[in-house]
Amino acid sequence: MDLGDKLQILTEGAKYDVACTSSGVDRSGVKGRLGGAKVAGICHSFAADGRCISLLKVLLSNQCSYNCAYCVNRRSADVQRTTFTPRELAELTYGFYRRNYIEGLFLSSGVLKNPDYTMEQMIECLRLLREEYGFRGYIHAKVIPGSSRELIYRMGLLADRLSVNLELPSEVSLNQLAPDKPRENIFRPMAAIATGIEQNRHELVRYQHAPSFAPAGSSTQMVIGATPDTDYQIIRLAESLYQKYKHRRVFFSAYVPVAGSELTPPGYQPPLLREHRLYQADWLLRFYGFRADEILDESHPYLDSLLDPKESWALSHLEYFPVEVNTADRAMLLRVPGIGVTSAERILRARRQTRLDFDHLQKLRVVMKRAQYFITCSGKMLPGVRFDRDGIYRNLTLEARRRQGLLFEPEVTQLSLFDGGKPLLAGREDVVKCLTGQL
Amino acid sequence: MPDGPAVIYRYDGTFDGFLTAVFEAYARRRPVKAITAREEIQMGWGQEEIFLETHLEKARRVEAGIRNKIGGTALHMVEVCFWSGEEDKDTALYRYLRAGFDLGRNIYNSLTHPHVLRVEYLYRNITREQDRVQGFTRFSEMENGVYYASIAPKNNLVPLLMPHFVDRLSIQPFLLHDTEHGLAGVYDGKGWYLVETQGLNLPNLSEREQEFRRMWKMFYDAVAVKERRNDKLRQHLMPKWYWRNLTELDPRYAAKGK
Repeated sequence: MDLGDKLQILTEGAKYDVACTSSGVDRSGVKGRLGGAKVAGICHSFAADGRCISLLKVLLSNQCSYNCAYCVNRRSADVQRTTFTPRELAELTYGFYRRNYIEGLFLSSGVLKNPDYTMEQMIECLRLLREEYGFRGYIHAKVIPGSSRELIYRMGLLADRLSVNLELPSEVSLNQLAPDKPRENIFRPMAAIATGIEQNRHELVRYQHAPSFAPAGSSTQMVIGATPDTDYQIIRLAESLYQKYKHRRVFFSAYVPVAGSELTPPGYQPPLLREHRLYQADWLLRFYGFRADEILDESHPYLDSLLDPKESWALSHLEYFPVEVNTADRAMLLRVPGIGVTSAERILRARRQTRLDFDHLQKLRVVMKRAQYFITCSGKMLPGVRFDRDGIYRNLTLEARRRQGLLFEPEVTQLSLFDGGKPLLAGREDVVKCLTGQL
Repeated sequence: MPDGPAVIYRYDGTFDGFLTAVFEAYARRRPVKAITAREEIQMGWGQEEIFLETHLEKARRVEAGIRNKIGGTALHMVEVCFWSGEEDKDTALYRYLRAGFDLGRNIYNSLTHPHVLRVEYLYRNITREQDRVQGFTRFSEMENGVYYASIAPKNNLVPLLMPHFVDRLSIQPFLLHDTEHGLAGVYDGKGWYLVETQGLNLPNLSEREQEFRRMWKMFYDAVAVKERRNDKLRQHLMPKWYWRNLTELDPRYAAKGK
């Protein structure tokens, strides 16, 4: 089997992993050595599915001894098996980087023999890259669940980012679908990484030249749609992962059925809209000062398919609106649909100079289509806009209803937000094309 | 108030030439129709054109004036937007600087001022394209060991891109060639410089180059999840304009038949 065939097989096996970001660390180049890193990350291409290609995302091996039901590489799956030698992969990465194809390497692997053996092979590849080739590009490495602390530590000294996949949002689901991966085998390495990063921060304060441990932090991901977990459970979990393990990112991945798996009913489509909504909620957690239980609760456990989570929140908290843009504080500006982190900053800066009117807001790139219902300028709403819940709801959902083929004019109460229980219109989600949120 | 017929100031296209033009436009106190290095911008009725020679001392005085009276951020904006591909960029920068000399540091919060908005637009446009092209550039190894990349950005990006590539590709001499603007950045293993160029005679590709291209294309095709195919999204994030220089979208490197 030639290198190209290996590359193809081991890419096919890695592609369902979501995270391809090369962000989180700034490292300038060194004369005579290859590579550097930019804190914002760089996308080098976009695949036919619209996802960013930043890193060479491959498995070291797909010869997996586990049999996780949702996984394309599970032991019982009928796929061709192969393994890179550490040097083959190091050379491929180096060659790709010189041509500016990639920002670096994203290395994952099936469980080859056992977790520790797999980790040793992966570490050897990273060691070659860093030490022998002097490579300074970005490296994201997956920690194999169940591997030893010592190996995790060595990997963290070579990689910029470490991640352990949570795989599924709850223990019940995990036990069912991934019998070889007890939950503690996932959380133990997560905790080890968090501790490693924390200790390293202290060391770096004391010794400037202490080796850095995973300077771009850690991340994790879970599969959405293969199990009955609710959106509320999922974002609560994401919130606690950010707090407890200081993850930089929690990724969600709409489950794509793998050949021969019987997890999903016939006619199942990957829940792309649901994934998109979860990313929107995730953004609210990370950048907009929301708590998970403000976005959803036990009695409303699913995100709305017609409204984004911020619109949903605003419509059920009209008592806070309309907001006066000339006086509101940053936290309140951020709660207005149509005002993002950048436009909030711009409003704060611009209003030091002038009293803002609606024309100004347009120029500051506030999305007036959404914001108009929730703001006043000098005490006045935009002429012609009425502050009325049902009317706002109708207007905000107009486009989504048209797209989902729901514009049979309706009593508004039929489309009530507060339906509880099931997501509205589940099953039609697939028709909606949406951003994956990974950028 | 300045008076007389409006003037088009013409300069040589260099950054110092532009700063000289700003100096002259101030000193001559005439209404400014445009500042430009483009020949296609024509004089209209009742206008006058003045050809300027670049004057280094005047350029330095303007530069210091910007830094002291407005601030380093404004100078940075001007240095970046100078490479914009928009036709009115020199005039827009001139008007921005005039506003800046009036407002001082307050210009940074004058986000609704029309001249500030125009330059912010230029800045956003050029830095966004810079971010994109940093990713979308593809180098090829030639048989003499030099790496070559051809790009076709809408803004004149080579001067802004060279520091980035020199920083990370210092192990290899390379050529970054902008075929749209006829400008190439050359890194010779020690330092870098710019050359104006139309066509280039390039050596043959190295022996292993085709193999790398084929493997890259193979990776590109394999990494997409077919069930999520989304051409619209891809095209939004990576406009077709850039495809001609992307190895992975070149059908010649399609996977060998199996």
